[in-house]
Amino acid sequence: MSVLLLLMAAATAPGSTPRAPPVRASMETRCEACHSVGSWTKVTFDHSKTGFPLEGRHVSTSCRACHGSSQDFTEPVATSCAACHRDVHLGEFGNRCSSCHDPSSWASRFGPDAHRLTNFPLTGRHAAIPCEECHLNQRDRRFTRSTVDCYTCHQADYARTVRTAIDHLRAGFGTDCKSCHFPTRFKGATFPAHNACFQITAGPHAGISCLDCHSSLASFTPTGTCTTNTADCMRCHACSRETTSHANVGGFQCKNRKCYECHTFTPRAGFAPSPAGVRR
Amino acid sequence: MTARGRIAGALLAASLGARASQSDPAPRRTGSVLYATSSRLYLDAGSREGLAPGRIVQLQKGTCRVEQVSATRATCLGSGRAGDTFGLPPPPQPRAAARLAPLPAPAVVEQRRSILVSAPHPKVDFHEGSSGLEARRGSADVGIGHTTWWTARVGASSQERVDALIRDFPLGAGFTLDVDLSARRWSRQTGPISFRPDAVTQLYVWEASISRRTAGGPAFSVGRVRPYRVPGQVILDGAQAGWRSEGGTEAGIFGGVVPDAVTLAPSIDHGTFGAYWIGQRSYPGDSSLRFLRHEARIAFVDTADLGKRVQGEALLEARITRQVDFAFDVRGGGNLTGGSMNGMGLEALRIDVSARPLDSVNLLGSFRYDGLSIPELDGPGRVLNSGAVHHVDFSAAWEPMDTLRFSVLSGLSSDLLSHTSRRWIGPEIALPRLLGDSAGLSAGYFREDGWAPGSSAWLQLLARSPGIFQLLARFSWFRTTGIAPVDLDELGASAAVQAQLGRYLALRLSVFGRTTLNGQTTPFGRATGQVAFADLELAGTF
Repeated sequence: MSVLLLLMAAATAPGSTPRAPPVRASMETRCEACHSVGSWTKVTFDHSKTGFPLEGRHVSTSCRACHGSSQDFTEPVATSCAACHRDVHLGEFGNRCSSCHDPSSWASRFGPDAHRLTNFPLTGRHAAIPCEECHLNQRDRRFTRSTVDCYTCHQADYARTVRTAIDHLRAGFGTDCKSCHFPTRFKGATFPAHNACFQITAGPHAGISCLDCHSSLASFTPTGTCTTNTADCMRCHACSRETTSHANVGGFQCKNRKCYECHTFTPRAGFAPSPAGVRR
Repeated sequence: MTARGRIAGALLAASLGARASQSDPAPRRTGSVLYATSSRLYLDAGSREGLAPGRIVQLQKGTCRVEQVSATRATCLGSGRAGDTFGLPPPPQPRAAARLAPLPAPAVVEQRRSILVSAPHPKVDFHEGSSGLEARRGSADVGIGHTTWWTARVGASSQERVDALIRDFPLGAGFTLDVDLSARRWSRQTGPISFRPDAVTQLYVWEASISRRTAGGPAFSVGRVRPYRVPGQVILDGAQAGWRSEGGTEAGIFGGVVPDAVTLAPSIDHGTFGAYWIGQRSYPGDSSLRFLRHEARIAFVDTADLGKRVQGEALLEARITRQVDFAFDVRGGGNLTGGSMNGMGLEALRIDVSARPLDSVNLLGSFRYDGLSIPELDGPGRVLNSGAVHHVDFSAAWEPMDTLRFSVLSGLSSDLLSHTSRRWIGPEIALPRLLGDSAGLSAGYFREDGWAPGSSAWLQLLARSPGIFQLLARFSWFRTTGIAPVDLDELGASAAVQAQLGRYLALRLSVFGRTTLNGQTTPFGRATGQVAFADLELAGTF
């Protein structure tokens, strides 16, 4: 009878012998510390007690994604980011992932403000352009080595001035864009050298545009002698009115060149007509 | 009742009385801290001693708030040291003994016992899952997003994108799939676009490989491969093959052609092959060395820009006790001409050190040098520079209590080709738990020096409901000198919101705006301007 029972048991047994539970003698045997009666597979464990609290996406990550196939979860596991995450930046930023990334999302938190802690603070329009405009390398996802030299990025803008403004190349303007331009937009530049010939940053002519005075900018060439032959005073200062108001000025002629002989408007001479030219 | 019954009853009463007197010792008046981290204390008392979540415990120095409680143990949020003692609340008043219902008749008890004994209760056998299956379950992150960049008096440019990141997706027989790609399309372009201006639609594939990587066997990847932990190795269209030990140490070879740096299109202008070594090990908690990772690469590189070269890179990362983390990465190489190497030089060096000499003090320092013997694209002009940069930063943080942190941050970044550099240093004060786990506040100031000196200040708020919602709002002020004809004052505001829409979906919104404050009128117009940026993404994690 016993033999028969043994044979029946063998015939109805599963195909493989059930393996022993993966619990080592030294392991925790208080099942209720992690498991519940609701489900054996729904394990809850207060990971913060291990010195590595699970935050963000780590909460929903499977235990073995970090602990591997080992059954002993008490074996030490590296806590550095690089131990689990692949570094797509090729080590450029070391293992301090948290400077830009957050456990709740791998999307970068690095923004224009943080860029100030580099060799190139993002000012003006630079703060709202795609990163790729300067950091061209898409392959290595590296961010160092973008130039701080304006011209390297703005060569095309410099060349474009031949048809949009003063031909910078012909005028002999330098490539240090920031000495005249603001980072907010190219239009709206200053021209500090202009004041030496004719003050336009203060006084009655402050705020006027190039073409308010100059008949043409395409042929503009700074000579250092304050003569461009393109300044057109008469455009605003009508001859009929100026002839009347200068009736007592000896040698007055309603010509652009003549205006400048008396009215230099330089910081040194001030805004008033130069004394030598006034014969009221 | 018989005499035997009376004797038995007397013995039972005596034993119960003795047990009751043993289990009712004098109540404890003090508890102590068993273990302390920087923000959490582990107490030797629990609910039996009257502790409950939220209760404030008065320590010898400071207080802490009880977080979780078991019958005999509790954790509390605060600062302190192991061994600190604290007063326990008075024990709860014993409840009046409830009168128990009379015992059922012996016949009823016997009937119930027989029912329980005869009830079927099949045992459950333990069936272990396939070994390591869970670890190879893989993950997928998919996101669709929209970004708009806007500049006053210029207009807006907008781009839509789809991102996909698949990690270790099981294909069967131990093979896994890894994909990392982004597809982008400009829906509106206003103003000049320098980066690929003619490519309205762009596709970037960083990884599309099939791998098999098991402990104690061969490990390989083929396709567009991001070589697994080969330090400094860029992605390649080729293969990586090696052997992996049970402990995770791996050695092997790799080779292929390297995609174009801008478009990621396949290219034969750049090829490489070489060998690698990977090692990583954790040590028991009582050893001084807790973790060690070491990786190395030696490679032959042939590029259209720099010719034939030999490169080597080594990385070492270690955790020493609980206090110090150290990482060191060095890359060097030289040109191969006429069968000999020359022009050997240091191409990159990185050192990162973090130390926590006290639980409340954290120090971080790093140095990195990039010598650029590798091709680099420098601005839209695609100027290839052979200069070098270095970057140094150091920060120190002190957390006298769980709710307060003082920091000093400093750094130096230099371009050794253009001889331009910037330095910065400034304090930051943070109240990370201003409203408990719900909100924190921080403020800081930087003084900056160098080719574009200036200063900046900010105020930042972080509000969150873990797993549901997070808001990061920031207000900033900047003054920059030397980057415009006059000093430039700017005011900025930004906010990043993340809302979890369920188990798998999340919505992320980032907005940013900045305006120039000193609206100086220049000869040719106003130099003021406003810029803004907005990014909206719906992301799924599966």
